[in-house]
Amino acid sequence: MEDKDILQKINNMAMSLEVPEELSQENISKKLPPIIYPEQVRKQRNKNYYKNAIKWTAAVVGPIAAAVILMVVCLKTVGIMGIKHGENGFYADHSILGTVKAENGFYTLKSYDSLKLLMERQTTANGINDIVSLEFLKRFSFGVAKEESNGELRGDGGAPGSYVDTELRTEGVKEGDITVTNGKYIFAYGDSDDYCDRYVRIIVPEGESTKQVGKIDIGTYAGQFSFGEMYIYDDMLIVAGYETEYIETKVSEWSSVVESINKTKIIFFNVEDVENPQHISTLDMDGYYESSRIKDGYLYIFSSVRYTEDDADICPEVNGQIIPNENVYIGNIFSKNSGRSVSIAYKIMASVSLENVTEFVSSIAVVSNDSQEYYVSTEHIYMYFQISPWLVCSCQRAMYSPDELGNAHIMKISYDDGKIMPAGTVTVDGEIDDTYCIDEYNGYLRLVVTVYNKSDKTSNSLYIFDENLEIVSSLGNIAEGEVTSSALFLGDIVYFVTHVRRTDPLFSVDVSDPKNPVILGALKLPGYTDYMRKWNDDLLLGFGYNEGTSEKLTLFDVSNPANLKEISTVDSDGEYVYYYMQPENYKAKLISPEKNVIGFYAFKMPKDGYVDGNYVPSYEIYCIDENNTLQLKESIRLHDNLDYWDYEEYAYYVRGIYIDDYIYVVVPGRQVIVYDVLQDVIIADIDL
Amino acid sequence: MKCDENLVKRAMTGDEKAFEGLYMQMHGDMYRFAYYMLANKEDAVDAVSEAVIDIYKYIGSLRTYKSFSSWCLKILWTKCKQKRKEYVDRSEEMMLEETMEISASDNMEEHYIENVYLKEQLMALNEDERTIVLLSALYGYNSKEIGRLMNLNNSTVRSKQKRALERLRERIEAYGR
Repeated sequence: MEDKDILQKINNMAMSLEVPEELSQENISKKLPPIIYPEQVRKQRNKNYYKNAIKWTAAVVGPIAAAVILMVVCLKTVGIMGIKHGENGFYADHSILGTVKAENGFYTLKSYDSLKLLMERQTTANGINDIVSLEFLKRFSFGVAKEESNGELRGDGGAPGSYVDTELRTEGVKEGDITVTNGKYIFAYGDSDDYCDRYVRIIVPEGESTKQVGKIDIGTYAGQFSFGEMYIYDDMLIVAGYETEYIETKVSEWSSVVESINKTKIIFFNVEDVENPQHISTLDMDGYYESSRIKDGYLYIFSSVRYTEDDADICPEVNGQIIPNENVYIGNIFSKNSGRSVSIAYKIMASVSLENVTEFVSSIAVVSNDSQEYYVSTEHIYMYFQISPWLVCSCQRAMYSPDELGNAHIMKISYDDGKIMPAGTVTVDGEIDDTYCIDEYNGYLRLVVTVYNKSDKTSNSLYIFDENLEIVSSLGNIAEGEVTSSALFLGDIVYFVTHVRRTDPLFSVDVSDPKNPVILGALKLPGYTDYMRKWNDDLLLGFGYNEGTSEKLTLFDVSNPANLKEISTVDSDGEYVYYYMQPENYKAKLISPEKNVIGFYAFKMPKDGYVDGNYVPSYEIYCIDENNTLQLKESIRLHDNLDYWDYEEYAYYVRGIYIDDYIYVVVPGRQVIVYDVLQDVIIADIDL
Repeated sequence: MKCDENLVKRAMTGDEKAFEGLYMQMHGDMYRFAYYMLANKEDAVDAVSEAVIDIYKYIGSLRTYKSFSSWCLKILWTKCKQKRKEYVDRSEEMMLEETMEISASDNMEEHYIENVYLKEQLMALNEDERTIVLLSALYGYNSKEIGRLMNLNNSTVRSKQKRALERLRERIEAYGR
């Protein structure tokens, strides 16, 4: 039974429920108080409506566009001129809609008024309100020069080799995390009351003398702050997240309504003197903070903001400056039927030089669907949007346009020396499971995807594209009926796992010749792997799920890719079974082949089942012995004075930081436990 | 939740007929969500009624009609959480009574019995898991949208969803055997 079948059953069950008479229109009306609308609120609404209508028709965008606007108003039920009905839904005639083609082949805004036009609501012949959709730009060949990229980081701080840094997706591209170290100090985010997000605690890691030496109150620099992640770069601490501003509207003498606006904040501190951290600057961007990277001395930040045509101001800003319309690119937007809020957004990307953190170097915005994911290589940012048909039951399919489901719509964006520029797009038939299933190597883009659209059964494919995003080769129909759960591209070879229920083949594929990928081997095992990581040239480490309901750690021998073997696996400490490891959350793992240590959080339950109160939140530390067997070094029990459900959240927040042969297990806002790796003993447990 | 956006716009300006029309469109969806969050009819009716009163009172001050649907859901979800705090033990008793009634009768249709069992398994999930599953099943929300509504990060939503669906699958399949 697939996930969508379960959801369908629940939906069917719910739809058969009769709504009680108490909730009839008549009965509810008796309970409603008299409406009190502030006269000025209603008048303002009417004024905005007419003001916008006048503004649009009077806008100087050219006679053709003006005629289009008038036709829109007059011909609402027929459709807007310039929007044609293609095979896959609506698409845009850019020459009429007032966009311009930039040198790189992408369409940008002629003015923000043309975007308002694109956001105009239409009524289809069926009477369903439907936003205009734009055809996703499929393939462009830009002749972008292949850039030489030095993937080295400048000045990472600390003492190289003495500490284990945050797990990275791409070597040479630094990622932030909620707890970071430079080997001298640990900077940990959290508050003692809950996970909200107020203080950065500065801890000096000195074995049993470990102590907190400083604290930064982020509340001084941002209002209601939702934390994203941090970086430590030389003596600079960078805190990234978003602030929510609440706007209160009084509706009567005794009540008001509060709505929220989000603004991404990047806050820079000099922490050379950790007991007196100095604020350097704060930069902001419209919208939610999504992600960021550091490469070659520049910080690149991605945020997302939504506007509607009712908003008087739809111009995205970075640090109070509107992004010029020629830097606003049209990306992928799809139509949605009524019943769902439309998720069209600006994806804003901006860069800051870490030599001068008082201003942005450059910024662009992409008008696209809101739910994007990111993969960042040393050369390009890949932003992709997909909706999994796996979780859409048939009753909801009508909400999506036909080519939304089951396809990954990818935008390739170059980034270097602070400059950010769209470089190409491609639509792939298939769904990308996570950031490890997409990989750029020597200019080629390789992907492992789950394909939904070809038949009733799923299957899996490997695609290889060249630097112009032209397909070079593909392997299809792999593992029919299964879905991809993880992949690992290691240069000329890729390993990936597909599974159905909890059985997993691990495949190895030779991709040394991009024109001719070859499957070398497949290993079928109970359970499946959700995250793989290279341990050494012969061994892969895998985090995943067991055949039952628990989670596990596995070691694979890949010395002969044609003959893969599972050589060691653990799903319990002997007495308690592992759950809530969040196998796919790579940043929460401590993995160091150099130090021979593997650390992860697990929420453990007794083998014979859960009974209220007999769970154990724990940080597990493993090593690999000379027989290539996983060995448990220590189970570190964490404080257990929280609700049961909070321990699931711990899987996201707890970190093990390795410095100078100690592991500091940091539970944000609560405690640091110090484990001596050489002596195999816990030597300190400090409350934060 | 399905709602006609023209009705929303009109309701926001004080049009009572438009609000009535909106209510007729939404009340079924709202009740279904509340019922499976709270597991009993009376509390679900209370939660929906209280949510509708708040929506009615404050709709005039909503900034944008596009956030109406998620705004309503957030209000309803908050009411459900408040209700749930009041009666954790009561729902278990009431569900047990219902289950016993069903097993005592031979005339119940099979799919009705299956629905009772499915409801039982849904209620056996923890509150977060149940909310996530219901938001997916009833409204088609993705993990990002769910995360924003519940103030959880994307990873957490996906892992909770995965576990919840896995658990439901095992139990549904066990029932089928």
